[in-house]
Amino acid sequence: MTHKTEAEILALLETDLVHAPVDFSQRISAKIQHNASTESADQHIEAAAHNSYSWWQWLAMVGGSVLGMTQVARFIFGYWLSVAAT
Amino acid sequence: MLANKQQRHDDFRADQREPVNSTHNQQTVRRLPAIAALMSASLPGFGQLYNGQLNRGAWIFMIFAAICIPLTAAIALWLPVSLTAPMLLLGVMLAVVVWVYSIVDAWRSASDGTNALLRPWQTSSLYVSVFVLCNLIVLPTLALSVRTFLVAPFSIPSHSMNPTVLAGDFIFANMAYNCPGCAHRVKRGDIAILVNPNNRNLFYIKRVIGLPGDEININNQQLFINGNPASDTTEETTAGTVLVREYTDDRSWSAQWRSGSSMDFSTTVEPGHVLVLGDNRDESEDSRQFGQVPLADLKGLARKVWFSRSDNGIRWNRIGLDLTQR
Repeated sequence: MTHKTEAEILALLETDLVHAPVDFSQRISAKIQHNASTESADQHIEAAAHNSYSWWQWLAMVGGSVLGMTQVARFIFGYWLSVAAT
Repeated sequence: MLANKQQRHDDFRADQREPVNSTHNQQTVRRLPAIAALMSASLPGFGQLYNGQLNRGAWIFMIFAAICIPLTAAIALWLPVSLTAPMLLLGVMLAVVVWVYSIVDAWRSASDGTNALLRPWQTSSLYVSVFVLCNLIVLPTLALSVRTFLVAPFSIPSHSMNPTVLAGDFIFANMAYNCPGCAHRVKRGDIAILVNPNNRNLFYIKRVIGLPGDEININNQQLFINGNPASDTTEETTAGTVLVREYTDDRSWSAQWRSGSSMDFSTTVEPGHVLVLGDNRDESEDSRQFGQVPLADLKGLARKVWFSRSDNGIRWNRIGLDLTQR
C-alpha cells in the first residue's frame, strides 16, 4: 500500500464518492461473481488435495523425521562422543 | 455526509497501520499438528515453516544451530578451565530446550483449529531443499567445526601418561591451539593431542618436552633441556615406581619411572618439530621411538578431565581436574 501524507488523505476525503454506472451490476458484478465461484471450487479441490496424504507421503514423512532426528541428536550430543588418544 | 467521510478516513488509516492480506486468489489449508511436530522434531523451526511462520522458524533454527552449541563452546574456552564442562553442558541443555520448544510450538500453532493461508513459497521442493541444506549440510558442518576448531572430547585408554592422565579418563581438549591467530601457542610442558605419526587415523596424548632447536638429554631418569636440569626431587612409591618432579619456567609435573630403570637419551629438536614424551617413561611410545613430531601434527591442548572411571568405579576425585597446570 502506498503511504500518503495527512494532507493527501484529507484531500482524498474531500472528493466525492465514485458513482457506479447504471449497468454496473450487469457488466461488472456478474462477471466478478462468476470468477469468484469458479475460484472457490478450485480452492476447495486443491485444499482437499493438500489435506489428504497417501501412505507413501506418510512413509516419506516418518523416514525423513527419523533421519532428521538422528542428525539433530548427533549435533546436540556429538561433541561428547570421545575419540581415543593413547 | 461528514460522518461518512470520517468513517472512510478511519478505514483508510486502519489500512495504513495494518494492511490486511486479502484471501482472494490464496488457498487456505488445515495444518496437521502431527506433521508440524514431526517436522520440528526433524529440524527445529521446520514445523513453523509448515505453519507459514517463516520468520519464527528461521529464528528458532538459528538459535538452535548457531547459539546453543557453537557459541557456548566458544565461550567455554574463554572462561576458566573449571567452567568448561558446565558451560558445554549448558549448551546441550539449551539446545534440547529449543528443540522441545520448537516441537511444542509447532504442534500448538497447527492445532489452533483455524485454516491457514497457503503461502506461495510453501511448496514441497522448498521443504526438501531446506531439509537437505539445514539438516544434512549446515548441522554436520557446524558440529565438525566445533570439534575441529573449538573443543573436542578424548578418552584415554592407555597408561602412557601416568600419573598425570590415567587410563579411563575422559578429557576435553582445546582445539584452538598451535594455529595462526590461536590464543595458545606450543610451550614446553603442554599436554598435547597429536596425530600418531605412524597411523594418521589415531591420536596420541603426550607431553611437549622440546621445542625447535632445543637440546634434550635424559640421563638416569633426570631430564636436561639445553644443558640445564629440568628435574629435581624424586619420590619412591609403594607401587615400585619413582616419581621425578620435572619443571619448566611456569609449570611442573611428575614423570613416572620404574624403580631401578635407567635410560640415556640425547637429541636436538629439528626446526618445525617438537619432542614429545609420555609421563610414564617406561611404558610410553613417544619421540624416543617414532622420532620428532612436526608442529603441524599438534592438534589440541588437554584442558580438563570431565569424567573418569576405572575397574573399581567412578573416580570422583579426578572429575574437573585442570590439566593445563599439571
